[in-house]
Amino acid sequence: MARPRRVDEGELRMEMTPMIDCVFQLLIFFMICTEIAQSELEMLVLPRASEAVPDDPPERGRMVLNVTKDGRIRWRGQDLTRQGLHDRLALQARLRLQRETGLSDQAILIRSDSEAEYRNVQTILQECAKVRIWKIELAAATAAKPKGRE
Amino acid sequence: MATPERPASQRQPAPGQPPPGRKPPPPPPEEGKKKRRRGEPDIAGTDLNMTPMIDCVFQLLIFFMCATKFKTLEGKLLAYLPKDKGLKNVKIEEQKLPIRVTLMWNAHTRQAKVYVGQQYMGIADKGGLKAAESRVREIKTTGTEKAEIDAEPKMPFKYVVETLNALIRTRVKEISFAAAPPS
Repeated sequence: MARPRRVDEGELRMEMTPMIDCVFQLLIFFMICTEIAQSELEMLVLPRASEAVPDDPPERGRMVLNVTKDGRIRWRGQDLTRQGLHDRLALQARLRLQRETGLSDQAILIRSDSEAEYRNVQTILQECAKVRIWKIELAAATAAKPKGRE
Repeated sequence: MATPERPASQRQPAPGQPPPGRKPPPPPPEEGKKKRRRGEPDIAGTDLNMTPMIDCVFQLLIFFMCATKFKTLEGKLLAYLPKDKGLKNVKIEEQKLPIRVTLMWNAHTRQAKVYVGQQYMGIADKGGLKAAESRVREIKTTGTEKAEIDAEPKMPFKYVVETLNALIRTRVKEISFAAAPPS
């Protein structure tokens, strides 16, 4: 029977540097991504549109509203009632209100599931019209086009 | 009378064995192998522990693969709501009616019917949208540059987006959504 090899505990050294490097990278990446991904973008099946333009760079301070397949309107991970939606949009509209025209230049991105009923999107459009928001963006899935192509 | 046994320390060592209490001499170095001094690293025995690094790199790789997919495939269609409020002081003769694209939803067959004006174009999934697009192009040549999408509230959103997409392809200048019926 072979004798077990004796381990010299004084000289055993684990290589921690690459692991710590990677763990920190992961940590930073998750911290950045989780905030954007979880708070703004819900997991939805977006409708396809060949004419959709890339969303870069997204407008600063733009409100993102998600409409789930079962018809819930969600903003930053929470469900909005119609009144809640109105209040939130009214606050958002005030950020870029044009005093001369009374219109708000604030853009709203609507991300709706492809199977969600249109009436939910209509609700958002109606509320946007009430608070004088006119810039609407509808999220759609598209294949990435090469840059410079029309 | 028996002689008393000597303690182990006083015993005579066997020939070829070190005396008791002393360390055995180190074995002679092997041929071609240099003797390592104290504090000098053992180069031959250095072992880089790659397992945790590879674990993390694979995690990163999988995460990037998942995350990038959502990011790159998402685009947007621009739409604008009417800026006007109330009645405009425009003569009725000057106003041109927009091209109205109507979407009717049949819940039983789960099919979307497409109309341009009063004209039936077909089922959306079966060439109805293509036909509507061609019809809008024809009407557009008469000078109408506005189009309106009127979809039933129960219509799945994908058909609305597909219609909007088709209208954008026709290069109609203004596309709007018909107002929802009062609830």
